[in-house]
Amino acid sequence: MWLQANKQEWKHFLTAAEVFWQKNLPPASDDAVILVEAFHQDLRVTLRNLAVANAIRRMHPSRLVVFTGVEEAWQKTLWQGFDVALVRELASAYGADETIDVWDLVRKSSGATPTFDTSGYVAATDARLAKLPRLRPQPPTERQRYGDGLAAFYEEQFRRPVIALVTSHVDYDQWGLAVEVARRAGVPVVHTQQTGCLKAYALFPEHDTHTGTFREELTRQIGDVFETKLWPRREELRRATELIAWRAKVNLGRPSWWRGGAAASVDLNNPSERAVLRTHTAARFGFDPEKPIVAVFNHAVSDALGTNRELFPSLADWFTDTAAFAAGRDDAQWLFLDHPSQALYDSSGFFGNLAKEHRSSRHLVFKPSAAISKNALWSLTDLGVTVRGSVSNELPAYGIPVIQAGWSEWSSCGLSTVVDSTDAYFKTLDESITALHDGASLVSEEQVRRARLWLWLYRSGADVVTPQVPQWEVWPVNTLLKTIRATFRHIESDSDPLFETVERMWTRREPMLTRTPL
Amino acid sequence: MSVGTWFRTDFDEPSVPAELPLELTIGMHPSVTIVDQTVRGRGIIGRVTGDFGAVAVKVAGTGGPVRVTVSIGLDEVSTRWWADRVRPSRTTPELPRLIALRAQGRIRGSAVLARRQGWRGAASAEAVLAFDLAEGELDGDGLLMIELGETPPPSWAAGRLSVRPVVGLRFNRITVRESTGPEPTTGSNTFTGCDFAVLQPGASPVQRLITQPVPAAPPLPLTPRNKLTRRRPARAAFKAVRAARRVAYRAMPARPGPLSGVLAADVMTGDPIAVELSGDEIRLPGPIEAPVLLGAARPQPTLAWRLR
Repeated sequence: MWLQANKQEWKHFLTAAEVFWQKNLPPASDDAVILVEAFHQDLRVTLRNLAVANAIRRMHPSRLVVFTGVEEAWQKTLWQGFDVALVRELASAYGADETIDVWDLVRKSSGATPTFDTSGYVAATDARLAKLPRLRPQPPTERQRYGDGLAAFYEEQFRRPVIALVTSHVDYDQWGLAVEVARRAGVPVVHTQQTGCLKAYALFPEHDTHTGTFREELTRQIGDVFETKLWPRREELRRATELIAWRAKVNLGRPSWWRGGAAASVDLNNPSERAVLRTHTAARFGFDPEKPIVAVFNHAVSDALGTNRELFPSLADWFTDTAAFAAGRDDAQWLFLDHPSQALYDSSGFFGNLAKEHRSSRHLVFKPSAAISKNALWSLTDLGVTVRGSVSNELPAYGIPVIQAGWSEWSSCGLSTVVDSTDAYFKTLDESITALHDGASLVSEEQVRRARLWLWLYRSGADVVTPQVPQWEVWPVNTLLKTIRATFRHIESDSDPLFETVERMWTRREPMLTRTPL
Repeated sequence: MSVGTWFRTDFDEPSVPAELPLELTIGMHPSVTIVDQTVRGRGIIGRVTGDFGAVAVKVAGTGGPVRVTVSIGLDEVSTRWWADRVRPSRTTPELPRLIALRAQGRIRGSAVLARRQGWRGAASAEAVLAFDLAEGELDGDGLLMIELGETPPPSWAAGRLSVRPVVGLRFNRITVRESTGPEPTTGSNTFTGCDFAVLQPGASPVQRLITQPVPAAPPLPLTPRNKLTRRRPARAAFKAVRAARRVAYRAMPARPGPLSGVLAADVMTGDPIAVELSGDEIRLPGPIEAPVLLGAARPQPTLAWRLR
């Protein structure tokens, strides 16, 4: 684990955690287990997993099994320093009965074969670790061997009486295959989120239709909750949603992780202010402020390929094809923005190469996203286009229409225009540009209200505040450890929101953790 | 297009229009409605973080003509912000910055800023541009938009002017008053600190050029990024080396030699403009409608110019 903590601070924290959990967890009476992964190097990720797992153990006394380990390619591409020994210390302080170095076993295993085909997960993992924009038809044989080894290992583990799998990720080989096996074994999967205080989604076997990926199932269920529980309460929540909308606008609350600082706060309040700024910002890119401007937001190209419904074979294909379409549509002006963290996801210079290809088209502008402030972005964008980026919930909340060429967490909540085939995608783009020329409005008041309500659900309603899991921004690590230590030592655990909310989600079989009953 | 109707939330505070005459010196003033790629300041209006930076001030205008004065600053912090974002080479000396000022979507003037180098540090540079907004330009909405931007330098000045010149610049002060009659755009008429000068639109096509030698500019400090070089002993050593280098640069006698000739170009387009030099008199053809950059024909970084 990547942990640059003061050694003394770490020890105090472990002691406090150990005492706390010893007294707060009922002893296991049978051999039921809860499986938890600890493959991520960031302590905050694993803390969330362990906290949720222990909350389930309060209801269902059981043994805790932690999966950890690190493989060379993961270490090389993503983890600066991953220390299995530290994971073991942390897990045992949280009352784990077993900590298994999964990668160690997989490396040593020879030719284990799982009962299902792992090639999809292997290819996506390979693209991510090699930082390639497209899936390779033939990933290295070692990756395939690892994939099969992992799947076989997980299948063996899930033969135990498993109560739940708690995981921070649901993609790639080390996490995705565990989720796949859990779903096949009919085990509930709790998916903790790496933002806010404590956010988690859950997929219970009785709600699993087995017709799509984990994320597809989740998208549908989130849409259901939104439609049946939240949308009818919109008037009652009006003040709260407005406040969240304001806070999101000025970059308060859960900050938009993809940009920060003064350039992430929006000052614009009305169309005339927008128009004044637009004449200036359009000139910077050689645009005519009178003509429609479409902003296309590139995704981190190798990020979790094929894990939710998408119209194009890969994110890179979507972006390339959209640029090709745009090149033929000079009745609109196109701003192609790269993902701010692209360097972590692409080693092939995908964005730069595409920009070079379209250098001759003056109505296409390619820019890194940090080159433009949010004020400028809002002043220019008449239509946003993304696959699953967060702009598809942010922009509609302020009345900027967005077309999505794929699904995301919120894509069934009716905020954006989600298209379901490539033909429909280009047809929608075409019609939208025509509508912009005609001065038609592409976003309805209902969409704006829905988007603001989603902001509320995402940042508040489904973000549980518990002293057990400090907000993501409580950092650096020594501060975090000290904060949780204070919780363990000085706060009585009765009715801790961690325990109450996990229990509610669990007993009501809800797809997400919520601050209050919805 | 109706985008913008939903930008407002119930919690946005309305901006407060400032009365004329206005002298704005802080970014926290409620009339400063929009800042774009600019961080609001407490002692100044703001400081630019990007390749373009803009502020929009809500003014209770009457729709009549107004006179706007903008003061732009280049100080030590500007160069830090610039070096942190641009990461220049360790040997390139600090270069003059050529910027263009737009207001209400139109180019109004241009300026060149260079700091005067000293034994222990460099003095801040300031450029003041004053221009008219015609009747109706500051309309009922009263949003005065001032933007600093970069322009591509003419080929003969490439490498002699700073790249990304706007990063780190300060908006020191903006004043707006009702205009008493059309006045020409004016810029600073002090020494520019470098072998460039800018003529504002409406300036006389005949100018007298005065020059004086100035000390050469050392390279700018770079904030260390390496784990070891970020530590205190290393940083103290860098600082000592920098101080010694500065003294060495300052002690070098500035011998720019005679004026190497004058070239001129349109600031916005980079198009060359024919210019005649006789003695210390510069003569440009015809009236000046857009800002004109004048510069030494060959680099003379230790020569400062002043036009009169």
